[in-house]
Amino acid sequence: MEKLGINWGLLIAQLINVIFVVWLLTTFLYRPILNMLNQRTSRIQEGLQDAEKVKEQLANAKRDYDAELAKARQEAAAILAQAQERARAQAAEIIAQAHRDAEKIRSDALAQAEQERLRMLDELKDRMVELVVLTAERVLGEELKANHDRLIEESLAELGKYN
Amino acid sequence: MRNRILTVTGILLVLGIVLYIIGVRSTKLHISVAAEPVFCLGGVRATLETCASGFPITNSLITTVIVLIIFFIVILAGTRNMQLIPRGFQNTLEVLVEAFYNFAQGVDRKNVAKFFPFCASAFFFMLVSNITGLIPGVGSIGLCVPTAKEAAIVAPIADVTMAEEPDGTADFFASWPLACEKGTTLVPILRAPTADLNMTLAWALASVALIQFFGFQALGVGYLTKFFNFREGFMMALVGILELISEFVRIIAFAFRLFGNIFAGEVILVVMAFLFPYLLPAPFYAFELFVAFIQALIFAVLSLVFMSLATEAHGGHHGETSAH
Amino acid sequence: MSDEGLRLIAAALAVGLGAIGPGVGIGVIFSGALQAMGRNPEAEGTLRTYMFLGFALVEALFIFALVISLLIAFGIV
Repeated sequence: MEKLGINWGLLIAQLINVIFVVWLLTTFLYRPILNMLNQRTSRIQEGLQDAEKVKEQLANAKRDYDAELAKARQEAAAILAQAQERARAQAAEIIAQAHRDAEKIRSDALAQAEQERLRMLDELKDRMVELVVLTAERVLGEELKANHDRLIEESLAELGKYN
Repeated sequence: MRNRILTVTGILLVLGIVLYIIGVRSTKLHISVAAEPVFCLGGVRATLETCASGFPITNSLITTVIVLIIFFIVILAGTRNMQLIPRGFQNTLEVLVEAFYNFAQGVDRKNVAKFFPFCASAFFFMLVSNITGLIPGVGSIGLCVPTAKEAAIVAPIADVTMAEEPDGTADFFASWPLACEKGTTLVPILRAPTADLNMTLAWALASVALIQFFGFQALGVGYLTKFFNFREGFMMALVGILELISEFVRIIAFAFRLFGNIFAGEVILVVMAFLFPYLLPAPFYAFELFVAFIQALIFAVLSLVFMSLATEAHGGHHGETSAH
Repeated sequence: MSDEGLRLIAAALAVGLGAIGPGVGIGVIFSGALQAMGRNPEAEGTLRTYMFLGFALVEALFIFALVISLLIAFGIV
């Protein structure tokens, strides 16, 4: 064995070297690097998961938003319809009220006009009486002394008939 | 581009042939199976390859330490401040480690965390070690040690010197400064660690020991039924004994496969440089680079495969019987 | 022929002849594994495992030859 160069001392030295190399590389090369690789893998996985989650959230949000929008649109349409309905009713009511008011105003006006007319007629009657009396006084003078009260009554009745 | 490559190659070839004819080449061919001690710690040298006393500090050992220092520097540079977003050198290291980790995962997904440290260490250490043997200057820069007479007898391959030709036609570089004188041989200061049996044997022992350890860890005492299986007749008992033998053969196979490949690579390079030193070794360098990678990978993968096999309950019905 | 020369020839023959069989065997193993991988790429992981296992078993034979050759060459046996 000597001639092949095998020497117990050297062999043991090399065995120690083997252990040393394995220890050295394991502690200072493989462990940190594999740790780093694992860390990176988990980080990337995490990132991908996060991205997936965000995407999902985004999709959810979009769906929610769409649903919300549709709901809002529906609601708005409902509200609009309701408002329209109410407006129509109100308008009808207002118109009815207006009609009523107009009717009332008209009737009031008519009543007032009637009243006025009656008042004016009364007034006119009074003035007429006065005028007739005056005219009759002037025309007849003193002649109508005897039964003028009856005459006045008669003419007044006559007037009332024409009225 | 193609033309330029051909031109350069042609010029180099012509230049090489001219230099070869003039005689500008080394005629010394020194190959040593064993790693030579550069000096003996607290002792004296006996022959080229051995120390009479003291601890031999061989060139392989020195290179091993250098490889370790390289590892230190690389690890320090690469992992000093690790960041989640890798940058520069950290990235390179991560790619290397991750690539081998994925490869190991392909072999055994379940136990990869247990097997990975040893196998990856074997791979990276051997890869660097194998490649150090290809660096110019490794194996050619060294000390001149007097060639002891008995060394040549004991190890015939160890010192094949072609300068034994009729005197006068000595090595071209013999008269150059720093050249080794006649009667002395160059002992390189550096040598690929994997071209030393001690190193490969140490790794092989560690690997096989770990294989057994993982086997026992996974199967408990039941792991032994793989080797001592007398319940299922003579054939199975024989197979068990063969398994036991093959377990020991693995040590030798691991050690000699790596050693043989790397050492043979060095020998090929030296012989090619000896035959025709210009341009001829270049393709062999490329091939040795490939071999350096492949052998490191094979050691690591075989360790992985054996470990993963040892942790499995062996062979369908065997496992069932042992479970009864 | 000297004893030393015989020894060297024996060593060379041991490693040279010992390389024939394993060389063919490794070729067969890798060719089979590559074909299988080509036909069934999903099974590549398992196939690679068994490919290297077979490779190791065959290579071991050559390693025996190499070891024997080295033992002969260095006069250990």
